[in-house]
Amino acid sequence: MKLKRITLLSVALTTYNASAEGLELQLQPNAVKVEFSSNSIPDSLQQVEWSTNLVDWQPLARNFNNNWQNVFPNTEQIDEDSGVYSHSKDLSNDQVFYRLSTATTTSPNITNSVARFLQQATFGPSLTTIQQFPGIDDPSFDTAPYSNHANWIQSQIDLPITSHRAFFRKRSNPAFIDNPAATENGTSLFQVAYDSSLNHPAFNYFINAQDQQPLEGVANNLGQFYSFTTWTSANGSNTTKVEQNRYNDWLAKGPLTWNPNDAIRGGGTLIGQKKTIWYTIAITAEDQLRQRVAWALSQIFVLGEEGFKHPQATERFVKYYDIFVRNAFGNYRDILGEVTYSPQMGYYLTYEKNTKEGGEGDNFPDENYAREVMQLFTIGLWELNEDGTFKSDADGNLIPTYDNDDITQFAKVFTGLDRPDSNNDNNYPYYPNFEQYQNQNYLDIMKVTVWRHDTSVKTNLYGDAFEFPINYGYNTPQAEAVVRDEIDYVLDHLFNHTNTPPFVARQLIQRFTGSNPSPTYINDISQVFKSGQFTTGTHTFGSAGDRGNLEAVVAAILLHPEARTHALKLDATYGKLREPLIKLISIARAFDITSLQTYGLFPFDNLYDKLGQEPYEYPNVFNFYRPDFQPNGEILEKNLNAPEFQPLTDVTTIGLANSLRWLIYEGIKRNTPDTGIGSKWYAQAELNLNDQIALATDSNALLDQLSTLITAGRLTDENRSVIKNYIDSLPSNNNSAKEKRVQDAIWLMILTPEFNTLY
Amino acid sequence: MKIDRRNFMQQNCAAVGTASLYSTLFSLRMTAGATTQLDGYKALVVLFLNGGNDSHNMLIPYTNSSNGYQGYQQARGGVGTDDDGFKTGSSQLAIARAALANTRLNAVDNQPVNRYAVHPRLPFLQQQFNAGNLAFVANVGTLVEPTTINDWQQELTDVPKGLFSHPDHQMHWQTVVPQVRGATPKGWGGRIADILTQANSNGQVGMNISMAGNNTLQTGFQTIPYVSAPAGPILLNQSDNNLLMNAVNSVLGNTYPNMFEKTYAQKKKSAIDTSEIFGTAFDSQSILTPGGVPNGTLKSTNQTAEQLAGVIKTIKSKDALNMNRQIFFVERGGWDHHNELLDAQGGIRYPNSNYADGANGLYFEINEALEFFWNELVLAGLENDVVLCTISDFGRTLTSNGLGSDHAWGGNAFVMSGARAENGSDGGPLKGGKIYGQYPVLDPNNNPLDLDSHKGKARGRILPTLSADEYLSELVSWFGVDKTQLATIFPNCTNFFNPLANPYPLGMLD
Repeated sequence: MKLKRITLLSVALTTYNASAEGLELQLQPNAVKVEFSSNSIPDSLQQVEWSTNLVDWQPLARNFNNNWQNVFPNTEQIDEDSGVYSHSKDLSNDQVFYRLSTATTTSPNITNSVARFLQQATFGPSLTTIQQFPGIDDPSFDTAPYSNHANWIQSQIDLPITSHRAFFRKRSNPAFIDNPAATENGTSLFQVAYDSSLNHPAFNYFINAQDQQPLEGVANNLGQFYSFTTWTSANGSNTTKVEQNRYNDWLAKGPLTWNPNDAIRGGGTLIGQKKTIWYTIAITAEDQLRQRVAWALSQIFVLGEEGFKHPQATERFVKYYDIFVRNAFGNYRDILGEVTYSPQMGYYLTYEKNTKEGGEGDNFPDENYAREVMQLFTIGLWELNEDGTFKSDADGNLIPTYDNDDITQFAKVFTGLDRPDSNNDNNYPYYPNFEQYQNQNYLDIMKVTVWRHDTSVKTNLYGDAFEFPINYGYNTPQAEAVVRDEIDYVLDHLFNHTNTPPFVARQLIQRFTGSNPSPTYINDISQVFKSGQFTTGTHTFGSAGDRGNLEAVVAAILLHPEARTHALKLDATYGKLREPLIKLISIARAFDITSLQTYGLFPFDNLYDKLGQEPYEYPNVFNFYRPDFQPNGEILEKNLNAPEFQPLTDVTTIGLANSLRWLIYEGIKRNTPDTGIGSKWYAQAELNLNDQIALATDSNALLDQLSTLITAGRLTDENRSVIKNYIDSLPSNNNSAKEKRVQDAIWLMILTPEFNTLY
Repeated sequence: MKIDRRNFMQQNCAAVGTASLYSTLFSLRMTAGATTQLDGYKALVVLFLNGGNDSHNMLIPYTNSSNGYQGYQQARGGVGTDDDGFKTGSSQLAIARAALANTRLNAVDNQPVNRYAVHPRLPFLQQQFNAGNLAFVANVGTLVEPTTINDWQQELTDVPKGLFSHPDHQMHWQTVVPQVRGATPKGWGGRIADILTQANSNGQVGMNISMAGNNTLQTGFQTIPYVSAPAGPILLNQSDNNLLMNAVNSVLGNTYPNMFEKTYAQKKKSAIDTSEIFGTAFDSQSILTPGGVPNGTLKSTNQTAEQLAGVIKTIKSKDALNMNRQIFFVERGGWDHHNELLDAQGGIRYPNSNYADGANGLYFEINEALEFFWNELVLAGLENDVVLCTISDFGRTLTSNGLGSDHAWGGNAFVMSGARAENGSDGGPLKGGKIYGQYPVLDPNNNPLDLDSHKGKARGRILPTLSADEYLSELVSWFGVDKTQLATIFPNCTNFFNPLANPYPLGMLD
C-alpha cells in the first residue's frame, strides 16, 4: 500500500489556496464549489475529507473505479456533471478546508480474491471450493461485470435446497411420506424420506411432554408409543398407525444397536438437536449461499428459543428456520407473510389468541407484533431516503415512521390468529406432523378465529381509513378469508412502504460485505429491491416487477463495486468484523472437518457463552447485535457502525480463541465441567490437517496456504514473519511435531485481526 | 480532556470529530490520581431487569380503597390469582388481595394510601423494607424535562425519543440523555468513571465491571467496562506457553490501519492482559454461603444469583486490585410479559415438585438472589458499603391485552443497602422502609396520569412523575460524585432540581 502525500486546501471567504493537486476550486458568492478531478489509476483510492478547524476531519467523498461517491454516514451531496464530480458548500462558516489523499495497492491473486468472495458469500472457503470456482484462470476475473462470480451465484441458486426440516425428518422418522407435490401457502414443501443407510434414528422427536421424555431406548419405552395412538400416515389410503410402523420398522432391523455415545445431545435434553442440524448443514451443505442468506434473514425475523416453554422441541424450530432457507432467493413479502402466520412467531411475539378489545373481559389487543413487525421486520423507526440516510423535517429532526396510535391501530389488525388445531386427523393435504406436545400444533400455519378479530374501521400509517367488514357467519371460510385479507393488507402496506427497501438493504449488506455501506451502495440495492431485477453483463437475476425479489438483491449485494473493488481496503473504514459463529465454522470448513460420529453430524455444544452467538440462541427479538452499534474508539469517533462488536467482550474475544483452540487441537469435544465445544468428553469430529502436515517442513508454502484459507491473503508481512519465526523454532522431525507446527500456525493466525475482519 | 456539561453536549451534537478519547483500562489507571483520593470503599450494583418489569405487580397498593387496592384491581381487569398468588383467571392481571397479606409492608407516609404490599414471591424484599434496608422508588421513568399530563397531551415538552420501544428505553436508562437516540451520549456509569479520576488511583482494573456483557451504561468517553463471566474472567488457553504468547503479543501489538482490525486488536489485547490480573485476584476469593451458587438453598437455576456471586467475589478482591469505587452491571432478561404475565412473575404451581412454591417465577428468582447477596454482604461486613438498585425499560400498561401487558412508561424500582440508624449517623447509607416519589392512583375511573385519558381509550400507561435523573442522582452522589459534577453525569438533572443546593433530591441516601 502506498500512501501519497496529503495535500491541503484551504477555502475561506477572504483567503484561499487553490493549489491542491486533484482538487479544483471555484469561488462563488457566499459559497464554494470544489471539483474533484478523478484519476483512473488501477487499484487506487482517492479520498476527500473536510474540516472547519483543521483538527477534526470528516470523510466527504471517495473515488474508486473512476467514480466519486459520498461515504457513510455523510449525507453531503456529490454532484456529477458530464463526468465531473463536485461538492458545493454554503459558506455560513467562515472557512472550510478540504484535503485529498491518494493511495494505491496491488490486486490480490485470484486465489485469494476467490477466498475473499467465499468469506463473504459462504460459511468459509476450502481448497476445493476455491479450486472449483469458475474462471479461476480468467485474467479479467476481478473486473466488472464479474461474470464468473455471477455464474457461481447462479449455480448456487440452482442447487437443490438443503432443508433443515427434511434433514431432521430423514434422520428421525422411519415412517415417512414421500410427497414432493405437497404445498403450503403455495410453496413447495420437501420430499421427506427416511435415510435407510442409518440403522437407527440420529434424532429424536419431542413427543411425550408430560414427563418431557423423548422417544428413545425404544424397547424400554414401548408404552410411550401408544400414548399417541391417533397418528396416522396421510397418504390417504393407509391408515396404519405410524407409531406401529415405526416400531415395527425398528424391530425389523434386528436387535437394537443404539449407541448412546452417538446421541447428539448432552445432558439428557433434546435442545441441541436443531443446533446440530444447523452446524452440520452450515459445514457440509452445497447450497452455501442459500444457507448464508437464510442465516442473515433469520437475524432480521428473529425467533430465539429463549422464552419458549419447550425449546427442546426440534421440528417446530427447524420448520420456522426453513422459511428463510426456502425463500432465500424468493420474495421478501412471502417471508413476511409466512413469518406472520407462523405459530412459532405467534407465540414468540405473543399474538396467538390475540383478541379484540373487550373480547376477553377487560382487555385490549396485544401491541407486541404490531410494533415489532414495523420496527424490526419492515420499516424501522425513522423515515429513510432510498439511500438509507435519514429524512429530517424543517428543524433538522428525524421523522418517526409511526407513533403509538399507529401501533394500537395495527394491534387490532393482528387479532384473531391462533395456533392451529392438531393436524393428526388427516385433514391436511400433506404429511402429518410428528412432533407434538399435548396436541399443540406449532408447525402448521395459524388459523383464524373470527370472533377474536377486531372488525372496526382502522387507519393506516398515512391516516387513510381501511375496513374489512365481515358479512359472513363467524365460522365460515369466507369470514376467515376476510380476516386474512385485512392482515395481508397491512403486510402489503408495510412491504410497499418507501422505508422497507433501504431498511432491508442496509441490514443484508451488513451481514455479507460491510458494516457501513455508502449511500450509493444502499441506494443501488434499494432500487434492485424495488425493481426485482439485477443485471450484470449478460446475466440477469430476479424478474422485473417482482418487488422484494431476494435473488436479485443478494446477487446485487455481492457483485456491487463496493463489495468487489479491492482498492477499497485502502479506506480504513471499509469492511466489517466477522460474525463469531461464521469464524468458527469457517475453520471447520477450511480444514475439512470429519465427523467421527455414526451419523456424520457435527454436534457443537453450548457456544453462546463463549462466542456471544449460537444458532437459535438469539438473546431476544433484537438479535445478537443492533445494526447501529458503535464500539468505543475510532469507530465511534467517526460515528460509524460495527454491529458485530456488540457481543465482543473480554469474555467472548477470548472465548472464541479458546473455542478455536479446542477445534484445532482436540476437535469437537468437551472437558468437565464446562470447557470445550462439544457435548462429549471424546472427540465427535476432528479437523483433517493432512494437506497442511505435508507442508509442515516448508513454512513458506504452509503459510501461503494458511493465509489464503484463513485470511483470504490479507495476512500482513509483519504477522506472517511473527508466525513463521515461531513455527520455524519448533521441531519438525516426526509427524506429531509437524502436526503441532500446523496447529500452532493455525491458532496464531486465528488470533490475527486479518482473520477476524473482512474487507 | 475535561468534560463539563457544555462540551459534553457539544460532543453529542457534533457526534463526530471528537479527538481520540479511547483509553484502555490501563492507560486510565496511569492517568488517574490527580486529586484527593476518595475515602473508604463503595460499590454500586445496578440490576437491570431487561424487557420492562410490570412493576405495578411488584409494589401493589394494599389499603382496600379506590385509591388503593380496589383501583388497582379494577385497572388490571380483575383478580387473576388464587390466594397463593398463582394464576387462576384468564385476562385478569391483579394479584388477589389475600395473597398479599403475608407480604404487606410497614405503613408509609405521603402516598395515596398508607399500606402497600410486595408480590407474594418477594418476602425478602418485605423483610428488608421493614428492617429499613430497602426502599422503593415509585413511578419513575426517563424524562427530558418536567412534564405534566397537560404538557404531554398538548405536546408542550420535549419527551424521550422512541417512546415505548425496548431498545430506546433501555438506552435512555443507560445514557439518561433521552432526547438523544442511541449510545452517543455514553452511559452514566461510564461518565462517572471518566471524571472520578480520584477513585481507584492504583487500581488494577477499571471502575466498571459487567457480569452481563457489553452495555452502554458502563461505557464512557474514555472508559469501557471490563466484562467478566459470572464464574470469573476467561483466560486465554495456552497463556502459559511463553514463546507462543510472545508471538500473540507481537501480533496484537502491531499497528493496523483498518479501523475494524485496530479496534479488534486493542480489545483482544486488553482482554488478555486484564483477565490475567483480574483472574488471579478473583479466584482466590470464595462464596461463604454453604454450597456456593447454585447451592442447596437455591431452588431455581438462579442466573441472577450467579451474577451476584461474581459481584461478591470481585468486591472481595478490592484490596488485591486496589479498588475503592466500583460499579457493577448485572442483568436478568425475560420481563417482556405481553403474555402469561402472572405465571412468569409468580411461577406455575406444579404440585409435589420443586416448583410447588412458585420457584419457576422471576420474582422468586430475584427474591432468592437478593437474599443470597445480602447474606454474603453481611458475612463480609460490607452491607453498608454496597448499594444495589434496579432499572428496567419501562412500566407496563395496567390494562390487560388478554394474558399480559404492553409497553408503557412510569414504573417502580427499589434500592437495597444497610439502613441508616435511628440516630441519623450510624449504620448504612439508606433511609429505607419508605416509598420515594409518588405512587400513582391506579383507579381507571380517576387516573389523571393516564397518557391516553384524553383519547377515551385509557390503557393505563402512566406518565412518570419522577425522573431517572432524580432517582439515580441519589446513588451517584452517595457514590462520590461531587454536586458540582452531577450535571456532567446527568445533563438534564438541572431541569428537575438544583444539584448545587441539594444533590440528594429524594433524601433517600446520604
